Amino acid sequence: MSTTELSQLLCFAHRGEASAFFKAYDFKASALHPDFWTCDQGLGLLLTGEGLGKAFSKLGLILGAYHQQPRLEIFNLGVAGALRENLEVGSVHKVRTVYGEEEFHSFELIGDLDLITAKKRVLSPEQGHFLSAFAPLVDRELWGLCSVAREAKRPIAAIKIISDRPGADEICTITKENSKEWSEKLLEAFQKESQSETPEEPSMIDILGILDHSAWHFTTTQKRQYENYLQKWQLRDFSQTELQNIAGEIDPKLKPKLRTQKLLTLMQERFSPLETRLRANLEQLFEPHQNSDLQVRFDQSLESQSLDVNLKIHGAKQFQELQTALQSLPLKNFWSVLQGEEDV
Amino acid sequence: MFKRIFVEKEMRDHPRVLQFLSSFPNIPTQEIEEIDKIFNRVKKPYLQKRDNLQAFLGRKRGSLVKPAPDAYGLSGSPHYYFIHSYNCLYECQYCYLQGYFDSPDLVFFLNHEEIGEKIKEVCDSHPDQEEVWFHAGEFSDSLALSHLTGELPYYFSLFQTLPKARLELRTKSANIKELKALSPQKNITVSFSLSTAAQVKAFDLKTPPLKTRLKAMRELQNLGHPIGIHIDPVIYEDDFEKKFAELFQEMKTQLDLSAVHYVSLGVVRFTKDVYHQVQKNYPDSPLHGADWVKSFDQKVRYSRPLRNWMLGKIKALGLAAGFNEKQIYLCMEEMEN
Ligand code: SF4
Repeated sequence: MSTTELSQLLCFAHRGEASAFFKAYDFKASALHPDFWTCDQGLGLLLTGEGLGKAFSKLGLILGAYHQQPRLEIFNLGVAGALRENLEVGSVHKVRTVYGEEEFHSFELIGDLDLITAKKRVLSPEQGHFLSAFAPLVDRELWGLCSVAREAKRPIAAIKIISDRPGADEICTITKENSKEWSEKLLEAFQKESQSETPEEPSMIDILGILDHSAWHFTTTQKRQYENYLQKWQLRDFSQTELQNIAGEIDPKLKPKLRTQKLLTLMQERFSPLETRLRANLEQLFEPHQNSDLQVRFDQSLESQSLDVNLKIHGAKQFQELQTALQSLPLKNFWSVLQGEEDV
Repeated sequence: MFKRIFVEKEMRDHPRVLQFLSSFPNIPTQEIEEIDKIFNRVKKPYLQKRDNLQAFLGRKRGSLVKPAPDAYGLSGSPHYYFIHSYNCLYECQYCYLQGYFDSPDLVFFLNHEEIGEKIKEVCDSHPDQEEVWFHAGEFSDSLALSHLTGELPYYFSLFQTLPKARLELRTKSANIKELKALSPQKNITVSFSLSTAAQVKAFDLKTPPLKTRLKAMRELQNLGHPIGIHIDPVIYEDDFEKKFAELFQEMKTQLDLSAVHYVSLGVVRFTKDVYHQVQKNYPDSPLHGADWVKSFDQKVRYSRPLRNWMLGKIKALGLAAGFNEKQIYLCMEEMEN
């Protein structure tokens, strides 16, 4: 089945909460599900019904059908009960943290108030009191929607309007008298939210401007490494000029691949000069003792005290020579470097 | 400071609870059955400590005094820690509490008399030992909020009756108001965690600057309170030796080094979970510019030679400044190599 292009999927528990949205946009029924509509402005509207189970199954179905859409943000809009006295009925809030009753996992959204999704509809004053220790708002679906959104790796936001306060017989109810007004408020908040610019993820700027330059050649892994190093460069407060100098000193006659490798090595050395010197010292330490029959390797992370030694034995005499060579390996120096005793 | 204070029903009339609440007359309070039924039951984002911090007041149940890890404190004597608080007001970027609890909310257990009874019991269970150490502040800062929790006079009088017991109060704060009102005791050491001035500023968010901590230490020393120093966690920085030489110079100017009870040294380390939390909570921290390795115990650390080199350098600088060999011990790290 072909699916319309969607950028935002609006989820409501009840039709009353969505009434203003049906008026504002030209939603058309979708063949995917009788409680799902789409419109030409790239919006989808899903009535999940009440409770966690329905939230899981219906959102799961729609996200499954739209799994190929590159960008699809989920919005939950609807009523929430207030668990604390100081919240005004009719006030609108973006949700910040979503907890679930008897659930350890929580979800972090962008907003100003926390919410807990209750398992049951009718709250006894005791249950309300207990839940109020976790969050000032309560609903019946959001935790479920967040779980599905996270599984599907889709962003989610929630805007809630307070429908009732502690002491009310039922929470998260929407009555006929105020459903129109509250849905309009939700619409207003949603439209305001959609207009506000979402800040771009700060991308790491290629300050040397070399990523696409023909004098350099980056493999995908090297590109990632280079970006990672640039980020570290900034975190360590190293200057751009210093990086330019480092890059400028690399022999321009080298092949692009080698130049790139050299640059990455030099950046790495700048991050850990001490370790770089240590490694170089260790290489030098073993250098005179190595030949084609005796190879010594140490752990590049410098964490292990063990050495890997590769031997090739050709005959009795050569074996004796190898034994002598093994005995002369500078093991004490090696271990004292690892103990941090050698000044480098 | 707090958005809400939860009080266990059982403790609602406890004098320390009433004293605590009297400092926050306008903060909503809520009675609960037990802290454990709320705290840590859901994952509360760590950085909500900035704008949605809550406090829990109650009674510590279960194990009140626990044996400390092997490499904890001066060797040779048994070491224990007791828990009267979870979490901390400060925000050190490397703090292991961010991966330890699932909530940044502060928990205060105010049944100190019960904890004290257990301390006595543990102390009596070591008839052959000359010293038995007890550490406060394993999961919190021992002094930062002591003016609100009011337990110090109790522990001072308790330890007066336990001459072979030693108490360590560990802190990064300069909140010594309560201590100043108490007579110094030989067996109670206030130990301050220190690092270079630049590192305090960069990593120990919301803590008092180095100068203020040193001033508090000097005041306590002048009053006769034994003090200790933890240079832990040590973090590598450019001009490492120069910066740490300056730190020792500052200590030398402010303190009588010969009277400092001990100086412990430890290099920064994280469990994998804590390191992930640091990445999440402080993505711009210079800590992420370092080259970390997964070390022998799966913790995230600097490479072995680097951490050993750092410890060696700091120890040498400490000795050069005037501390003696006996005062300096290497924390956690020495045993590992
Ligand atoms: S002072 Fe200690 S407990 Fe508090 S944040 Fe810093 S490291 Fe953590």
